[in-house]
Amino acid sequence: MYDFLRFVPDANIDFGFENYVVFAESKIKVNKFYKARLIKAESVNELISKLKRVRNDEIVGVYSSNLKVNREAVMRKKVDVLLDGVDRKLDYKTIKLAAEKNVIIEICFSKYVKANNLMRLFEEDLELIRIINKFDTPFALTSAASNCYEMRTKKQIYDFFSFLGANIKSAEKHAIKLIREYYDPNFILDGLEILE
Amino acid sequence: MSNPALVLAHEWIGLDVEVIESPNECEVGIKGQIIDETMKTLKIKTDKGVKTIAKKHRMFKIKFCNRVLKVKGDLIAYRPEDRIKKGIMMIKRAKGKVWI
Repeated sequence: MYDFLRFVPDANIDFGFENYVVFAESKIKVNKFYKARLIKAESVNELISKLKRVRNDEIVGVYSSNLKVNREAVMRKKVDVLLDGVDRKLDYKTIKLAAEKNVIIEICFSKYVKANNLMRLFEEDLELIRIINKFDTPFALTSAASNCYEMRTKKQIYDFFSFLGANIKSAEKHAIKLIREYYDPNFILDGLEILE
Repeated sequence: MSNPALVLAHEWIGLDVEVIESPNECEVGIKGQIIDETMKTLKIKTDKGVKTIAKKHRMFKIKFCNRVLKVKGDLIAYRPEDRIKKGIMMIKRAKGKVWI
């Protein structure tokens, strides 16, 4: 339902998604799209210092190629999404911890467009999806495009990852839940809502 | 007590409740006042007598703080005395808006 992007797309763009979540490091105008904070960190100290500057009422995504940073990010309450990229590192423990701490793991399509060694990416994602299915870890299937040429339609992305064994309905459910947590005034927590 | 999130930590006996989702279709639509509660069940006083409903895998509609709330039964499947601690912990751990 929702796609995670790294740039502000054209307002009239239609790739079959209900809306887009734009992750950016600095403050930007996102028009009708949802805004989220992107934190890039290469050390745990850098992550902690950057997280201190983040407000509680915005979606936070962390991107790091360091395994220790990703594990620390999962344990922080402010972090909502572990963003994906060509050199992101995740291990079994981190994925299991993400299920406990309710942190969404992004699996993106744009890295397949950028990368040279596709077989390594396929192997890593197959293993990642296997562990995600085992622990029922929250995850989201996105394009993670940093320009309009990396964007793909919803059907293309979902067909590609369903071929790798991902549960599409579960991915949609977690993305909707993330948006509702921050933007729906009637949503308190998963399983508790205000009707009237 | 004006915070609707605190329904998870509040006493449920005496509140008006309705079962809106259940794996047992006969239970859907049961509504009345809660007269007793155990760890896994609620006893609801209805027009047709007292009904005992399991908490797990059910969805309840409850009036609380002048609002109507939809509560998943799994969130309240604790002893009433344990729920004070566990309910507040659940709300504090929830991501997104800060309710407490």
